[in-house]
Amino acid sequence: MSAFRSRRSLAILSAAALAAIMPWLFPSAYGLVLLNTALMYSIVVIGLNFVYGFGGIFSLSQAAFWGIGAYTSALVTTDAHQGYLVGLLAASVVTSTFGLVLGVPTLKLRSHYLTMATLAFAEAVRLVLMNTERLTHGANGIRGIPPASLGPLVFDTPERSYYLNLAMALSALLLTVRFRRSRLGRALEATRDDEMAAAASGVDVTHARVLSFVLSAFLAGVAGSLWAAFTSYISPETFDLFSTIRFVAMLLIGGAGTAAGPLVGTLLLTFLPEWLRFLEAYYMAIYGLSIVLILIFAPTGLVGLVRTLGDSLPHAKPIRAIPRDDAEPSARSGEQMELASGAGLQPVESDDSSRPSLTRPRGLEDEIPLLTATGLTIAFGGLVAVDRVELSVAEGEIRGIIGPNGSGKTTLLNLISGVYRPSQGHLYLRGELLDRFGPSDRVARGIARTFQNIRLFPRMTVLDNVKVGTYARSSAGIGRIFLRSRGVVAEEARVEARAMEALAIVGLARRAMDMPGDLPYGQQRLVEVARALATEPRLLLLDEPAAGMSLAEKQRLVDLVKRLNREMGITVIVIEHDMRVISGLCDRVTVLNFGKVIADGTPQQVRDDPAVVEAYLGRRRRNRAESR
Amino acid sequence: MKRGFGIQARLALGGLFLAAILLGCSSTPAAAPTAAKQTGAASGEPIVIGLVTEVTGAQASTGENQTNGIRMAIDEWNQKGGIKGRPIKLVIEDDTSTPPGTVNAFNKVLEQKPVAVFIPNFANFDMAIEPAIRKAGIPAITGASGPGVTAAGNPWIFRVRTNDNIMGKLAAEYAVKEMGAKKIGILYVTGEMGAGASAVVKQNLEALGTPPVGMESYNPDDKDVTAQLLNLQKAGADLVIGWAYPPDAAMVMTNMLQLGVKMKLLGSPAYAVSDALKLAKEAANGHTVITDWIPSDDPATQAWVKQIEARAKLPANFIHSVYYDGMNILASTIEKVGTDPAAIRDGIRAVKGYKGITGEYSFDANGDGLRQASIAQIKDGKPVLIKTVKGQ
Amino acid sequence: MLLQILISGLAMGSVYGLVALGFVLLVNAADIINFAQGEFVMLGAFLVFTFAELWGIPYLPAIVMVMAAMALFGMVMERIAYRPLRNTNTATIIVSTLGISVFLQNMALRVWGSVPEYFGQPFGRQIIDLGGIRLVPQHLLILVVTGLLVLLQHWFFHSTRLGKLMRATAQDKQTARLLGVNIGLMTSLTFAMASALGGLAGILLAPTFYISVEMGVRVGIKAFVASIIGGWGSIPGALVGGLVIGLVEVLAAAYVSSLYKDVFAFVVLIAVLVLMPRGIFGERVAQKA
Repeated sequence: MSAFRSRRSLAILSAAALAAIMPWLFPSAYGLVLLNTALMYSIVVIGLNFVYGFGGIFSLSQAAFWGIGAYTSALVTTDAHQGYLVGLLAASVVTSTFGLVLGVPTLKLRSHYLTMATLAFAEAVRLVLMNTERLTHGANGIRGIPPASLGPLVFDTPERSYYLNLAMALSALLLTVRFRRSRLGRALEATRDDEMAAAASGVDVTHARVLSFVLSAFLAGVAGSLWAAFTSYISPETFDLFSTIRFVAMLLIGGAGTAAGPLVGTLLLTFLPEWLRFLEAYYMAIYGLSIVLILIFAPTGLVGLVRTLGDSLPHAKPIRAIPRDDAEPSARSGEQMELASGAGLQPVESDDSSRPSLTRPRGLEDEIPLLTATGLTIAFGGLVAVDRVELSVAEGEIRGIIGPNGSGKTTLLNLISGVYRPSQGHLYLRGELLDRFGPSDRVARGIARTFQNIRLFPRMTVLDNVKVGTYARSSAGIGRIFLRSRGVVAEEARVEARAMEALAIVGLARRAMDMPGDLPYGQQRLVEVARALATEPRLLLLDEPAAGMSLAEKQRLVDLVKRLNREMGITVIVIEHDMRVISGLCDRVTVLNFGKVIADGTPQQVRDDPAVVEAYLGRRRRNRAESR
Repeated sequence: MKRGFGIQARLALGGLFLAAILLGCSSTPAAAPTAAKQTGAASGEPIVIGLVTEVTGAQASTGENQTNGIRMAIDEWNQKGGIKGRPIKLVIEDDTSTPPGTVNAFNKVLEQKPVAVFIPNFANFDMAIEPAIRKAGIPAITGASGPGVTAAGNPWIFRVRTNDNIMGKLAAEYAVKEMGAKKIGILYVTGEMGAGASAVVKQNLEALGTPPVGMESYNPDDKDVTAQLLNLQKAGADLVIGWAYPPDAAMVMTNMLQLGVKMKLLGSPAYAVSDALKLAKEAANGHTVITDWIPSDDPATQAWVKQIEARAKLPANFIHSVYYDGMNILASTIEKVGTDPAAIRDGIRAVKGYKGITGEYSFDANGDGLRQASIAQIKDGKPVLIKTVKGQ
Repeated sequence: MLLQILISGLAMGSVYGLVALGFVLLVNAADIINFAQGEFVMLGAFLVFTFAELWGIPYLPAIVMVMAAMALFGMVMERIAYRPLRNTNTATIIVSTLGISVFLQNMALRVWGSVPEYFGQPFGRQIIDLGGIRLVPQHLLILVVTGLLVLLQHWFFHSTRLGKLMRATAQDKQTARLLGVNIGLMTSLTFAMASALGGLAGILLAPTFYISVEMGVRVGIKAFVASIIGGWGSIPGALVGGLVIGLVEVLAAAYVSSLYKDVFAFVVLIAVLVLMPRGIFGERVAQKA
């Protein structure tokens, strides 16, 4: 371990030394100017990485934000005669505000509409920059912008500016790395890959998207301020759509969604035209073609390519240690689970007594039912999918929901978890009206669910998938994440412990480091359950959890759910088609047909109910059943 | 979670990548862009002249004109043995028709250690490198017409063309005094040049007691100015003063023909450029233009015109001529004072009464060298000189 | 004056609509924003100039030659820039089309030079004067041809077997493949059509625009704004969206301020996105459930 540490420190030290002497390594002053340019561009591209790489939002406004930052800083330091730091601060604030302004309305838009909205914004910015002479000096641009300065330190040569730009670029990189490993990073990537599953795991999807916009704008604004001070002259045509597309190209070629991708891609595309200059008149044409070729050979970007190559190396071994196997959870009631120690995991202490821990003694019997639905109705177009359903689930119960295909079972679950709003009727959680809460808010209130078609986040490990579920029970914000405060470190440790515990409960602790796609179907489903458990629910909704499982797996599932119910006091509503599972699990069963409740009782009662038989099998079978 | 390459391997890869960048960035003489051909008796250490111009991008045609004018002058000097036996070497860098591109190109050109540079024919590109020119301390010659270029107080910048302050004034005066227009409208292209020049025209019209009845603008890539023309017509204009770039100049003239407007046109120099005239064809006929230079009939000028047209494969225009004259002024100054940039700077400023193809050059404290214009009328697709006017 | 303004607006609008038609085809087939569509227009214009003016080939055969050449070019582009990236995401493909756009612009610069060219065929400088209202015949031609193309495309995609196969491929590649449709061929054909349409747009636009290496750039952006306003993926929407932009621009220039007329077009775009996100004709391709 210590050998590893010291080799790592050595590597980092030599990188730092290399970076420090860079200006003297460059054979030409022009090259240093290019390097500065590349560093400033890379900050813009890192910003784009937040909104597109991690957020999956194809925004075409990045150059506009860059321009807003540049102009704000330039105007503050020229027309308003303020110092550079004021300009930098103003640029960050103004640009971030625009990011907020753009981010909020775009929530409603999807895919290409959203892209077009960002495009419209970008063009509007360019036109305003070009035409409002009194404010922006119009097409003349702003000249004589003073260089960046920090107190007495003035960055007026490429050598000095290099250090400033390098520091800023590395800070942005640090932000990326820390963000990615934090709850916000997981939340954003979850939102990108499967918004519905993210919301169902407690992620505040709105916040994640808006935050990514604001971060991208913030970084572009900072870069703009640096740019204005470095080039001392800015004009509107620089901040056009084609600049944005160049930034997108840099990100894609480097590798969107990776940490180093922006830097790599930016450096490459900034220096590539220089390498091609020997082609003279054709160099721009070849530059265009190179972009296409690089994308063809490295569609996940160069960093992605390196990673793929790395994965295929025979000696590749995981750098993170895997926790020891803890496959068979013992049926200990009320006791904390002891976890295998590895990579610094601590046994879970419930240090925050206001938060329910994962293991909890069986809940108090209350008179108010945990979940109540009254007159719940929803129609899609002309089709009434759920028709005046009345439902009452007691705390500590395991309720089954059955019915033929298309009877509204999943729709009912969607109503309970908040994916749909009912057209009529209400839902209550322990007497509290749920109607105004969206899916992620309901998770915070204790409702968790799994999905009929498994919805795990494919680009995260199993462990990270489960960690997403802890979003609603954690609180680190972007500031503390960047500064890596002690509170954040402690919270992350807690998050990890809870996630591992959840995995241990479902028996998959040894698979924590695998990718979901590597797991067999049945185990993927269990991961979903673990993710739901990580939200510390009172009510767990399971949508056909046994689908695709073998008999043995189904048995294990039944045991698991019983344990969750008895030992952890979780109320469960389960949709199932397999009557054996229903009989083995459920205290009561509700039957739906054509959106209406047609029967409600114990599994035995329901099975013999003629209405139920008819619903499933048709009238003839009912007659036959009756005649028996 | 992280498999494969450890952090050392990644840093090593990063280092390799950076090394590639450093290597690719080194400018060896072999990698330097085109130099002018050196012929004749010239030998000895070349004198390097830089040219930052539009090789690619939207303004590439102007860049080509600029390059041809300069090259022609250089070739003539080199054929006669260069400057004091030393051949002139032209180093060209592409500004990609953008301000940041201009900054890059200028920095690149500086690596070749030129004694002087020619900079783009566009004011806002020039402004982007104005501080860098000051810092580099070498003379920079341009034909851009935007007044700001010589108003920045930069002692190194010289303009071999009439700036728009003068051009606009001359245009206003000619319109009112010679053309007798009473109600004048202005139609200009947005951007530093168009906005600046039209403001000058407006100021001067007001000073002459005939303020414009309307001012309409359009963007350089617009393809239609019907609304603007009709607005001016509605305001009662009998003359439109137009300030444009060559492609949109053609568009304006064509549009006027298509609409059949009765207003006459007095066009800025772009309206007389061969690009514009070739595109507008018969739509240009009958219009008046004010421009830097129209070839006159005298044999010397006509001989020059033949030569440049053979080289450029285009009709001769003022971009050819001003940069030809500029290169000649530069070369003769170097011949007189040597290759020290400061000496060259002072030498150029001392030039008074130099008779070039375009006109007579005398440089003032601001660096402006030319203060005249030619008025011409378009007949059969060619500008025909009416008279030359001089300003201060 | 209003009538003349409106005619001018319709003329410019049909120009945008014509370019948008080819663009919309690729939106439908591959769900991509093709940044090179403007360059297809530019290429078509330069090719017709070369064939008809420089080589003296008569106008109509020249058109056929240009469209054939552009169709071939479209298939080549599909092979090189689209097929290898087919399974990546939209952003990658869009950036790839940008690379192609840069490549084409600069190659055209090498081949044809930087000086704009004039191409007068077929009407030259004739103007039709109807009692004071001036009509440019080329504008009428563009409007008529674009209208015909909309009808032709509609017929093709709804009434012919090949057209239906192409639509099926666009809507669900997997299923189409399972049913025996040759996906590669369908995509190739779509690119060929989009490219040929772009080329035709170039031929028709050349007399109004002057042929230059940059002629496609602005017009390309306006084309996709037109597609959004008209309804993403809708063929008649492309024309209508173009007309809307053309009219808004010219009306804003005439009655509000020529300085801000571009802003108005974008205000309209934003308004559409907020109020009518599906555009005037609604979204063509069904959203995935």
